[in-house]
Amino acid sequence: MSVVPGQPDRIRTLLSRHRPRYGEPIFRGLVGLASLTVVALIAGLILVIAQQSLTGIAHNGLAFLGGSDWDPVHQVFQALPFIYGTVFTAGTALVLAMLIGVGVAIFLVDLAPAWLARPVGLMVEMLAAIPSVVYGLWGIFVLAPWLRDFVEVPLHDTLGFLPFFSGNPIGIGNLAAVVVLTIMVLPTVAVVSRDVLAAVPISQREAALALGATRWETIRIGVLPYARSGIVGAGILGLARGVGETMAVTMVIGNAPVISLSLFSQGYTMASVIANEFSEATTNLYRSSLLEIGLLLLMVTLLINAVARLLIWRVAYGSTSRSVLA
Amino acid sequence: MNLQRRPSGLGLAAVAVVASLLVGACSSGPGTSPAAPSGVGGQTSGPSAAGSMTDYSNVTPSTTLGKSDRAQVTGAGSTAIYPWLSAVAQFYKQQVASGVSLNYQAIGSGGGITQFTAKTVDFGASDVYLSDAQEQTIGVPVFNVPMIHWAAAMTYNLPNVTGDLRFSPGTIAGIYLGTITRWNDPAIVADNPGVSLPDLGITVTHRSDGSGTTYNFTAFLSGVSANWKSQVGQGTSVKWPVGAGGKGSAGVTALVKQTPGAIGYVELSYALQNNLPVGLVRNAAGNFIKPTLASVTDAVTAAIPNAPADLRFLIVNPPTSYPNAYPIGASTWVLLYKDYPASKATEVKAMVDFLWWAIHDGQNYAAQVDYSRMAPDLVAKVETVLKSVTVGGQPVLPQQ
Amino acid sequence: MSAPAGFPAGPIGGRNIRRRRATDRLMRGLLGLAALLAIVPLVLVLAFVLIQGLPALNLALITQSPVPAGFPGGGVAPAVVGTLIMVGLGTLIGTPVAVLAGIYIREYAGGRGATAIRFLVDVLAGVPTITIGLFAYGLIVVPSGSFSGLAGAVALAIIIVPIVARITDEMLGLVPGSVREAAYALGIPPWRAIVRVVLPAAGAGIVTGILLGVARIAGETAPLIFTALGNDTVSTSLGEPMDALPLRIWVYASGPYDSWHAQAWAASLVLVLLVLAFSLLTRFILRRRARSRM
Repeated sequence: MSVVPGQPDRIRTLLSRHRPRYGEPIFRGLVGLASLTVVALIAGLILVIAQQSLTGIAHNGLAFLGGSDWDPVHQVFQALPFIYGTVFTAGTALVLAMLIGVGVAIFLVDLAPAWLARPVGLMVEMLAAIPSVVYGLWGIFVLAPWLRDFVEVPLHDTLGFLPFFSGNPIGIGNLAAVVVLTIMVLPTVAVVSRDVLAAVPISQREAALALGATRWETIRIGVLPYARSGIVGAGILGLARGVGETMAVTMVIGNAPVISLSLFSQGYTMASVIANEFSEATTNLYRSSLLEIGLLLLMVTLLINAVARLLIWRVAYGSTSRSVLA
Repeated sequence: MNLQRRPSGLGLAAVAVVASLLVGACSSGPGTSPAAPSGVGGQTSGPSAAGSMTDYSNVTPSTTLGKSDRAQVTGAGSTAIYPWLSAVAQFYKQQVASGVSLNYQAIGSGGGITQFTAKTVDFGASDVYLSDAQEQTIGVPVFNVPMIHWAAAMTYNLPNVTGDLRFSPGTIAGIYLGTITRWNDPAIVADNPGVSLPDLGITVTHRSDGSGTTYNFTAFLSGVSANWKSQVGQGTSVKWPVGAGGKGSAGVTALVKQTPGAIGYVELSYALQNNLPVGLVRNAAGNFIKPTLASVTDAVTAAIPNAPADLRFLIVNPPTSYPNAYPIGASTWVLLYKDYPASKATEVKAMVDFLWWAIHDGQNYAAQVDYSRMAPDLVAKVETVLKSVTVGGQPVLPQQ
Repeated sequence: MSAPAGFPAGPIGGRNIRRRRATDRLMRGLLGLAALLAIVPLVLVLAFVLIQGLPALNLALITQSPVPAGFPGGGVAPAVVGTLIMVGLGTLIGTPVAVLAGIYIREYAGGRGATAIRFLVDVLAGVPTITIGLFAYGLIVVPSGSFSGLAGAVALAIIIVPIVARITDEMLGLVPGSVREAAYALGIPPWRAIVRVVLPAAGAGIVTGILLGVARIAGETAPLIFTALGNDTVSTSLGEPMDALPLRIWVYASGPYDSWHAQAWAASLVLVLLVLAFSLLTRFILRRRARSRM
């Protein structure tokens, strides 16, 4: 395929046309302005949300981060249960997603033959394309009842003395949220890790193989150490996705601001509480406190994203565009 | 079709409603007409007072808003009123003004108040009237307009228990405070002699959004339990000691429906339409009362003599002099501004005309969807309020 | 290049070749298992959406408005119309900005500047969409005094910008430098070379990027909750609340009525088919282009 539309007559037409002298600066200004818009959007996001959460910040003080009372009747707004819920669900999901996702990535890059790697890779990417609300729907009607009957009840009956498996196993709760989040974080981890692994020079593998290493030893000694920071970056990127995920989690976590170690307990996340309560917050302070949660969520995800991309770029420059797409 | 499995009278009424919905006219009374479509004529005829005592059709005022006008009225709030309001809006569109659409988003009473305060909607709907402080925040004169009464039903999911359970107020408070955690707790057993209750954990469910149902429910609990009053209090969203949150009456109903061992409080029609059992609750007079149209009407009757002129009153915990009144009744108010900007004239005319229809003809549909109609005394008061709504300083409705 | 990173000083592995082979087989098996585990959820979700969605999928679903709660029949026409309008408008607003920004990054910004903006674009892509909803609420809903389709469209536009900008950037990078040089050699100013030669060469790739962005924003719920709000009737007015398929699925999925659940599945089927078709098409074209570079 020819990417050069190099028909001589077309070039001649281009040349023969009158060329306005200011075309270049105008165009440059235009595209520059567009990129400035992107920068302005980020700044605007932070400013608008920060400005609207000032009332909350002033009233709630530091207890906002450390206290566990969320009590709109008495105007007490402390976000720890939501922070905890977010960290608990996204963190657990990330561990699971890393185990599976990095495994998938290694499989795709170093083990699978091309005829298998391509469809499997595509299917993993498709996981990211399914809308969050569809995962939520599936979570409510398929996953949660299944978890309750085949995972939670047996665990509760046998290991109920452990704090992780205490409480009423009803399906809707932290475990369902963790499973749904794992599925949603997985493609981010897998796709970025795959790109990172693919960027590891062949020489690393050849050297290991030449020394008599098995396939796994080649991966363990030749590939993974080289890709380490990129894979960590992929994980952090996955964390950002998990922390910001809203709909699917809101639909299956049970929406109760409690701090519990139990996988069966209901929970609440920062994103979920905003989705549920923002349009119905009855006082200014209430709304402002929810915006304060939004601000915290925004700043945390910005930071996580920034760190992740820096780590990944050290290994595979620019490859994070795949995560934007995935 | 779950609607048809309801008790026969109501079931038939529901079928009739469905049929009338489908043919775009209402020519059916409960239990008299077959569910089959009876033709598409009679677009302009009033409803035949299905399940009603009085037919108010003749007092509907004529406004300049004809059938050909187009207007979209936006409202938001109470999920409890949604089944009735959405049905009434549909009939209004079909029978009175085909160009008028009501866009009502059931986001919860808290949301209704918030959006009404932020002036992002034409009207709000709330199961709790506006407080003085809230009215102050809004900054312009507003009206609390009662529309309909209903019961907050205690619904639950116990697969092998037949018959309706009974709950004393103390038991409900204990369950929601987290001190009663299993269905075979002595307190529940004491309320239900002779019923074999399973050794099953109780999953408490409540609203995750700001809710007037929650307000009335917590007002009821605050009235009967000192512990509840001091630890939790009453409000549209409270700090729940235990339980899982569902969004809207629909969300709580769904949670209860999907979770064996769950208990929740929802507007009655949500429980009935989903074939969920409804518990009896003990009132001040000591009787266990089933939430029905009659028992809620009793609670309304008890409250009306003391209702203030601004129509802000609760109907929970009726006095002992009404032995058959249900203790967790509630009302829904539509929140209106006294004066709307002239630019909104079309919408406001459509809205006020619709509301007028809703407090008269619309009340005839109340029973079909398990709500209790307004008492005639109250309707007269609401008429006066609606007549004082103005657009750009001009009254919307004819003054006489 | 010096000795590859991460290699131990001594010989690789232990002496016991049998154990090493066994470990190798085990690990390869585990990695294959991971791949299997990753695919299972996709199959399960798609299967259920298909099985549960098909029975309720009919013409009424997309042509009729919702009926009162708990009554049978009706459809999600307002959501279909709303999604079309808001996604269309969001794309229309977001895409030009994104394409121009992509051009700036690749063609003008130069080394460090390009890295910096690329970084910011990626960061914007990672912002939780619910906070973008908060932003649009503060920006449009509060000042205008009404939830509106416009506010929803703007929120979606913000989400599509980083996706399309980044794809444009990548696609322009695939156009060989020789094309630009040929144009410059003929005395064509850079901007005309970009608009008339480079951009058309990357055109198909950019269009697929836009399709991908469309697929992505079509499935977004969180940014619409407090911008578009939802609507039970078909509304085409941008100043009024508007419905969207994901919003409707959320409401119906969270509710207790069987008829709602059936329609939520059917609406999900519509949404998933739309999104997957766009995504697959995009990847197919992207892959072909990436290969044609070599």
